[in-house]
Amino acid sequence: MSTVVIQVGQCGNQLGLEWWRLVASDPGQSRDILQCPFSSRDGKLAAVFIDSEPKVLWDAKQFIKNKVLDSSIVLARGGRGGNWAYGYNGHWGEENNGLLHRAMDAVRREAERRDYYGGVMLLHSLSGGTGSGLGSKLCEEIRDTFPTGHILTVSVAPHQSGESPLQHYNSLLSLASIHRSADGLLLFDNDKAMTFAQTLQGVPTGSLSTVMSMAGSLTVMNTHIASCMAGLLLPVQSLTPTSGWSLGSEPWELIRSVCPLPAAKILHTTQANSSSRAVLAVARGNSDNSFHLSNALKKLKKGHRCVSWNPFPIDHWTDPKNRLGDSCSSRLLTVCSNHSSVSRFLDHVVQRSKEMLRAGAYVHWYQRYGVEESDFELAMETCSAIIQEYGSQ
Amino acid sequence: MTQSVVVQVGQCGNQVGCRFWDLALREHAHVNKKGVYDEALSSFFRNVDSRCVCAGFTPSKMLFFSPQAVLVDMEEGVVNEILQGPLREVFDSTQLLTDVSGSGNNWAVGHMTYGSAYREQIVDKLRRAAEHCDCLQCFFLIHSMGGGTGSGLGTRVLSLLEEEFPEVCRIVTSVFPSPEDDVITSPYNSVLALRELTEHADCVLPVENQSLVDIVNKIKHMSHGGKPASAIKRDSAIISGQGGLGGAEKPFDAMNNIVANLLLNITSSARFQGSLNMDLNEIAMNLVPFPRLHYLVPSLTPLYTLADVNVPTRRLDQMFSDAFNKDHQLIRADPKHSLYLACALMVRGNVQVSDLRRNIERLRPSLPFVSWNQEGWKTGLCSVPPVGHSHSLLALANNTCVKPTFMDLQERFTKLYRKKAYLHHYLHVEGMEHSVFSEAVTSLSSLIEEYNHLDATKRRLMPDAPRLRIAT
Repeated sequence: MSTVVIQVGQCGNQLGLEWWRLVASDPGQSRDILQCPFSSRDGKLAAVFIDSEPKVLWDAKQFIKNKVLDSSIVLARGGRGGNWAYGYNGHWGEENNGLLHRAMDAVRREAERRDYYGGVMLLHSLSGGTGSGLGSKLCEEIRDTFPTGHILTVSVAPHQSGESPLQHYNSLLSLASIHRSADGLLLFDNDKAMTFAQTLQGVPTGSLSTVMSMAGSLTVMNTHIASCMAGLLLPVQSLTPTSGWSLGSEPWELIRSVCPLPAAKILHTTQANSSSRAVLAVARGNSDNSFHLSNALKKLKKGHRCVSWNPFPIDHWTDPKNRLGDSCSSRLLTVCSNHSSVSRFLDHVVQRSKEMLRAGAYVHWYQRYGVEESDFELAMETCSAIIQEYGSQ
Repeated sequence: MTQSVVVQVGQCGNQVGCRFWDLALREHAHVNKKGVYDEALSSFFRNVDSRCVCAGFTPSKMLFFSPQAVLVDMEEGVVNEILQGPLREVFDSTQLLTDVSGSGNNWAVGHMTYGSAYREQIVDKLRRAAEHCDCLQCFFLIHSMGGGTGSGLGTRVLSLLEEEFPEVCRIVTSVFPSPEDDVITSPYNSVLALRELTEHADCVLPVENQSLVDIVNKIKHMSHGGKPASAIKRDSAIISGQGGLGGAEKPFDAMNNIVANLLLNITSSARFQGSLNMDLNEIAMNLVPFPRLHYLVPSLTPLYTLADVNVPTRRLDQMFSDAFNKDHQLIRADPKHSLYLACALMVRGNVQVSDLRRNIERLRPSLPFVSWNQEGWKTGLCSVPPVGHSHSLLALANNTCVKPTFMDLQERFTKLYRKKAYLHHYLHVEGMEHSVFSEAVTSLSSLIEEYNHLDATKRRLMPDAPRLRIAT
């Protein structure tokens, strides 16, 4: 396959582990193809696990032991204090042994092992220190090192009621940086994931749901996000060439479908009543070809209020089997759209950051690690430009 | 895993420190049944003996691990008591620094005389402790403010820590004197020490003796009085040292156990795993928006667990409400009527993220946060509960309610200083001048002014009452 999946920070690694549990150890998969679409011929997963403190990955030692190359696990100690600047710039005087250099080495090695390198998928959160800061830096370095490869990030936004006092600063700085270097940003929201988790608990329908209703709420939230990702990115028949071997280019086709403009790359996987630039619907379990004949596509078009300048606003892929369900007749529809409701979130982040900057709060912690007020201003300008772009249509 | 070093200075500091090590051994023995040196232990203990795997693990078998600690006292009584008690084999002489005559409850003697005389030795012992650590993240300093050694030499050690190890976080637990303190010069000592804390510490956890007494009395009343159905589960009370190494309970043990539990809970997420890990450097970075305003009000719940085992969800919500109740705070203050700058909730035990979020949503409306930090919550979830409880919560609030405590201190100081009472004891010490006093007072006044400035923004938050309209 062509993707290297990189998970950075506490959230990124917890989410990533749920993703691998979903995708790599599903017993329902047929034995004749590769065990997992995201692994290489020797059975090792195409993954790089990066964290600045080891506790999250210890929990999963059993699971990752035989599945990931040792060189692909990059750990440090002490954490990054929930501070973007610390994650981005690292320790004072950190030279070649630094976390960033080791992480880039691991990514390069993993990319070289691919038969065909398409790009990376980066899993991280926006509001912490490692995931947001080191994640942003990694995006920039990967863009420099592999200029023709794609970068799709899976970014998790924090709870709006307050997960960390630094969440606005960190979200602002990482969104600005990632929007510049990445090709697409799949934005997920802790609040929406939690609401979904709460509605699901106690509703046993199908193996996935039963597992979710018994696990703790964090696991449920991560499984939900992972299944949205899987719904979009696992191989689909629409994109598999007639030889039957998937190139694994779903993430890059996704970006090509849903990001028509470089100034607006933030994607949602939920429906909303704002105007959409482009929509992708992935229908799994379509063995009787009913998707084309159903009203689903028409409803999507109406519900999304697509922009007038895009002649084919809704793209769709289909696959006869639903890998994520337990029975042959289960169906799954995942929708990814690039629509302007994201400007509400961006606006909130920019406003709150402005207020905190005006009060001068926490600025000394960022200055200590090399981020000045001018960097904040630059990030606010970038985000305001994105808001304007979304608002103009 | 990162390591921390505990530096305990003075009589109070060493007594609290002794309880801390006892309870730490108890907690690790409870979690680590096999007695193998693991990563959690490495945050506070060093492995000195290779033969450490033993069955039937008890705290006494933990004696193969050496605490990362430096004990400093200018008179030998307390340290000797530790060395004769059950923890004698745990410490070795290179970790101790003692003198004979004490500081006479005089900050100047502790800070200047002993500070200069023992500077080299202190730095040496600190370096040795730091060298044993692979990745030193934090120094914990435990001392009291009202005496001579803890207050004077303790703050001197703090400035040495900043000089020698500027990158390492410094978290100070300071025991503030009550108004009815028996040391007459405690206002001088406290104000002089407070200036050092404001300048050199990364964050300070102030604790008041009176609050500790109130908590102890509340628990004792609960266990002796109270209805038969409300019996407390054995050894679950926050003041109990049962299950540890200590022998008979000494007079201040109950109060000191509370402070020891505070330190254990603060470091729990750094030592054990959980769904939302929170390291020690995150405490200062997330809760301290302005460098000088780093005084965090601690409050601990639950104080005890009832012997009746039904734990419905209501109990969990009650735990969150209690954390914001004045009875559970370790200093006397009123945070609900002052302004929150930020608040950390460190939860231990089997609590879900959804419970945490639900309680934050529930409590938010009643807690006034500063306008630019309405989402100023920092959350941490550790899966290992403390001994004797199924879950617990530590709340650290950076709140302007510490201002009255400081104003009170300033008043007591001014009463003595105006009359120049006892001043000659201080001025006789080499290196001590009037300017040291005036600088300390200026520092305290400007600190109070900064809190005032923030409080002023609170009044702007209150919307004007709608005017009555007269129908015409």
